[in-house]
Amino acid sequence: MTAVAALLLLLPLAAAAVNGLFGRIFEGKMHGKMPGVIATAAAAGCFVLSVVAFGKVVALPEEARSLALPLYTWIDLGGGAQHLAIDVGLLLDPLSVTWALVVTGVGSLIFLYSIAYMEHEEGRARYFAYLSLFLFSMLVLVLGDNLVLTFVGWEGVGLCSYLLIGFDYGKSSAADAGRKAFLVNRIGDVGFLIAMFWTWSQYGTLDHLALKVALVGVAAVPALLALGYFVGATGKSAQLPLFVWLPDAMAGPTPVSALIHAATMVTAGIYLLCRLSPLFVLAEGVLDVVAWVGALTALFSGLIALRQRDIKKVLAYSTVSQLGYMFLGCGVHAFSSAAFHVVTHAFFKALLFLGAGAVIHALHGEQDLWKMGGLKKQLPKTARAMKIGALALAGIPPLAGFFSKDEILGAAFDAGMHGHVDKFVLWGVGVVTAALTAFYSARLIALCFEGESRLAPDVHPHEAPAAMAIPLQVLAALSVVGGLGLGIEAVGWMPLHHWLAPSLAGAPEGAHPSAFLTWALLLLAAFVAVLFWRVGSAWFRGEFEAPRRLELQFPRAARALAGRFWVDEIYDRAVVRPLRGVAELCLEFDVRVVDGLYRLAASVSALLATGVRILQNGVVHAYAFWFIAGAAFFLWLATRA
Amino acid sequence: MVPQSWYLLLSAALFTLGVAGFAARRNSLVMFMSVELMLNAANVAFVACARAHEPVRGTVYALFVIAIAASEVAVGLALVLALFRLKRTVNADEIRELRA
Amino acid sequence: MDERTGFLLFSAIALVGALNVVLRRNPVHAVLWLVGSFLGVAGIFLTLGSGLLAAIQVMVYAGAIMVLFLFVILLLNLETPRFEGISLARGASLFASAATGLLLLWPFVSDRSLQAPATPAVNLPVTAANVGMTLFQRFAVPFEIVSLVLLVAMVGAIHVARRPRRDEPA
Repeated sequence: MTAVAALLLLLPLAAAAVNGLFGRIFEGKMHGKMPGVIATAAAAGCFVLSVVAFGKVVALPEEARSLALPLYTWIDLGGGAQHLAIDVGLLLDPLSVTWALVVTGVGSLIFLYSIAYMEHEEGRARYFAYLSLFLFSMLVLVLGDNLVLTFVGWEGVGLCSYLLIGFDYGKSSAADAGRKAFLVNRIGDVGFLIAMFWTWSQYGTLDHLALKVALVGVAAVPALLALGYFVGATGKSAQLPLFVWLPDAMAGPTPVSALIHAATMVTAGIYLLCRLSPLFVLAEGVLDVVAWVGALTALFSGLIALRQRDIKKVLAYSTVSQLGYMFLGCGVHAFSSAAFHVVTHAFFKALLFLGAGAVIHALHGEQDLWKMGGLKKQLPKTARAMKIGALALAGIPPLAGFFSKDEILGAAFDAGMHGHVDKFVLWGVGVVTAALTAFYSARLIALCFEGESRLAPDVHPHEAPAAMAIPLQVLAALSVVGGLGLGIEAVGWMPLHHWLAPSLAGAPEGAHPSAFLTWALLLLAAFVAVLFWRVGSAWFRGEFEAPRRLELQFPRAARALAGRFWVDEIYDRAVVRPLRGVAELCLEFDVRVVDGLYRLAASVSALLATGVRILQNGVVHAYAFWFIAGAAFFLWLATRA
Repeated sequence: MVPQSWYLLLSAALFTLGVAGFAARRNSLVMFMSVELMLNAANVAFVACARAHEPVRGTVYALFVIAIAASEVAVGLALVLALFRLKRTVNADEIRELRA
Repeated sequence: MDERTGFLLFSAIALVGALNVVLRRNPVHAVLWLVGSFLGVAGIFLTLGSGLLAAIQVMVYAGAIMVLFLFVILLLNLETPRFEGISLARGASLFASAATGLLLLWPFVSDRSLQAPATPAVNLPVTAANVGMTLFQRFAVPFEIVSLVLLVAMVGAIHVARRPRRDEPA
């Protein structure tokens, strides 16, 4: 088993090394597909190994479903009671295996898609090297058996995200976006690091399993400690107030957006919360903060998504919004529901991004929704797949998103029933966001595929090649059955929850809502989703009369939405410019005072040197004189004694 | 028997002649020869002083000095040759490019 | 020939040779006088009882090194210069060397105890075998270093003295 797990990590690492070190040599082989084929084979191999690992874990009895596989000791500081020894080891339990399956499964499809998408791009080998490295880092993050290793993966995926956002580094917008993502993530990482140090000093272990044991019987965890981890999670998973990097990250190639910035990396924050759920449930009030941040993020970015023109920006804000849902789920103790949403979201959001990539590919790089329209005639397959994805995102039954989103809303309502009245507000925010989600999903599909064509006259779209179409079909199928297959709360069919239960902290005891209430909520959610989907479709299919009227009626609101609530501008005023001012002051100080001191020292020694350099006149015999005179002087000293 | 001091006297005289030659001549070849004289003076002193103690070691030191002298002459003459190619002179007075 | 006669004879040769090295204007003459001086020093080594060193002195100095000097002088094809004159720097350093000489010779005049005859040590006679043993046992490391220095000097000399190729700057 250890071999399987180790191979799971080594395969993508080897693919990254081969493509990164020798890619230039074989980049042109197999019509330029060689690097992609290598990386995709490795990713697919990883998926097979993940399935093997899944089989192994399933075979274990339910109470003991966790396999710790230590590989070697990484850091051993020795010492007495506070003995710090950090192993490199893998932990296979339901949570990590679930994530590994999603990452490698969806990942393999996106790798396959990338082969065709990147076929004519420069630097394919570099691209696939980064992508494989990302897969490796993500697996380290998920499978690592202690927090330090998780942090290594955490930073690794951050690095790969930076590299891939800035893949087209000649374009300054891409390079800037990469830097922004990196810097914003750093803020979160500081929280993670501090919390990790604190955990070590408080509980004396960083091992996931040992920490779980250490927390048994602990009355309360310091709130700030848990908040530190949460700050890390908000950075990586793009929550308020650190979400600003994710929309900009769309500067990267579209498959990267699908893999890293929608399906896998950004869910690392949810993974951390789930992994540390025993710790979070003991921290007073922290989960409420999580829930509120999640709900507000969902609402906020849902609103922004309403008026974006760029097809990828719509999807990016939608991703932020859906991640907010997941945090809301974690915040109301429904960790398994959050994980459920992670899985379904990975399916349909990857599908939407890949579909958007196919559209952009067909339109030779056009991303503006107002320059699309009527594409379902030219791109019927892509249109069908994307419509499925959008329906799933909107939460139309019986597609995947409906069940997972409904579960989170149900859990929030449930928490409200247990006396936390503020949770009803959260539920309300969630329902409003669901309505927004349905609306902008419908708008996206309508603007892109329905109505009159607004294409530039010289663009002739063509359907995507097979390597791009196959992942779309598979993901579309998963988006359809993913929800039905993994859990329907109302009928008590919840295999994913039972599977994940041993890894997660349980929900607080209490009566569950009655079957009637569950069904009522379900129907309400379905009704809201269908209604707003209809409205969105109708408004953006034809003459845009209704939205125009609304825009004229509320011009300030319209501007605020289109301007993304000016969050970037506010950050610029509040953070970037003051910092720049301080930096300029430092520069002045450096140039005038620090450099001045050095210049002073330099001119003093230059002054001294002008006196001495007379001696170095280039005449050999003058040197000889000083030499001999020196010898004579010492001889004189010697004979005098 | 000859007193040791006679040998040292000879060594000192040879050394002084070498120093004087190095100081007074401007032909760089002759300056090199003067250096050889000084090295020889040192050898005489080595061997003479070692005679009263460990004559073999004196000889060994002298051998090392001879080897180093040979290296010095080889490199030095090569430099003189290269310099001559560049400046058409071996006159130390006319070569003063390396001033500050 | 006893030691005293030998010493006086050979030191006279060495000193006269050295004097002429310094005084002769023609470098070829200076080299030839230098050979004489070296032969004198070789004789001194003989009187000191180190025949081996005398032989090496003759071979290496009077043979190899002097031939090198001559070779270079002939290669340069210098003409005999007129009286060189005395520059300020050379005058000053000549003065300093005179002072050095006086200071070197001073102890022999002032201290009469130095004039006692030396008694040769007899523990280890200077034979080729003994010198070889010492060289390769006690002085093995310095010996290797010196041989390395010779090698480096040889390579360096060849590099410095070689005629520059046409395509590289002189």
